[in-house]
Amino acid sequence: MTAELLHERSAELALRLTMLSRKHHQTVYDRIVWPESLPDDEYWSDPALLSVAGTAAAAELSELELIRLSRTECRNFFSLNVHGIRRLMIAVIDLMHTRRWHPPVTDFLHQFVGEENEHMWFFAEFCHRYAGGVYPELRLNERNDWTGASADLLAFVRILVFEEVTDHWNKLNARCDLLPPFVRELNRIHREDEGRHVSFGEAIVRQLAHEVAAASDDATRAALDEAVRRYVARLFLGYLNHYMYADAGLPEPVKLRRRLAADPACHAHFLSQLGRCTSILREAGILTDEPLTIGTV
Amino acid sequence: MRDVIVAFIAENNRTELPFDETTDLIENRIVDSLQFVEFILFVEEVTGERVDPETLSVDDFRTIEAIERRFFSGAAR
Repeated sequence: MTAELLHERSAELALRLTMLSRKHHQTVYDRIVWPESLPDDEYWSDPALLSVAGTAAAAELSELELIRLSRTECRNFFSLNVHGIRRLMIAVIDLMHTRRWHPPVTDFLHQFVGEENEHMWFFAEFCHRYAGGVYPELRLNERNDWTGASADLLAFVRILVFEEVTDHWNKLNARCDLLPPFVRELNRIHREDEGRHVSFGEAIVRQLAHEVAAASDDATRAALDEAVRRYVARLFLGYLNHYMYADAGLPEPVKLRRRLAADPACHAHFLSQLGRCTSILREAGILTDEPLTIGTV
Repeated sequence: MRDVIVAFIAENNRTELPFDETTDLIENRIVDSLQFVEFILFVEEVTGERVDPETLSVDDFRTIEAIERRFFSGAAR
């Protein structure tokens, strides 16, 4: 597929998604009815999503411990969204109406930023009302030397990978009947908007990946490949928050975190949530065929 | 305490670059984002105190000297 055709497709999709957003998106400030409290003896995350799922550590926990962990993992998941959305909005706003970024694509980006702002609000609101607040972000900002189309590509890859994992969480939580209806509803609301965001993200990543791959030498493509893999590893580590194990009352929370960080079963469970974005990057020649791994983190 | 810090960083240094008390650990990726949480855990284990991430800046990890001053000098921020 030619670069021109990909660019055209992104523009057409942006037009369509902008129309859908304007037609279907309902602002959340009045839409969400916050209950006075939530049951603390029920799961707040689907057990299949927990960081211990599929690992030997899960079998060592009682049902009560898993329920407590599901609440703190819900808090962590929503907190990761709060911080992730902040970075996503900064990245997108920073490029709007510069270089290649013009209408109709920016029409959708404005919609996108508006909707993401609402998502950040309700995730944070949930944490403050029911979970003791937003977990702080544990992150070291590294030097970023990427510029131009490569920088734009990596920005949208990070957004898409993050959204892919989030979509998986939302999908399972929205239909899990172990969860209180309100928690299921919040996950469902988020998923409604995210469907449009993911569609757009896939088209933009595909367009930029082909463009960047064609213009890059082997060393640059290798550096991009490494940057994507490092981001996936960082994202994985964010889901292993030792504060959430401690707040769930689990014994030796730091030891548990380290154990899970080194557990291939935990790696596999996380990586199984990724697929669409990596397929696009492989197809474009940005990611090699080497399987994604977490490695030693 | 400096020896403990140096030992931890050396053990987790993926770059194989040599470093001393004034080496820029961040610029040279001797301390990077993948080990950052593990570094926080190390500080918490040694000091016995929870680190407040919202009080941190990247310069707190810039050099061995900065790390020692920020986390192990006994001066509260």
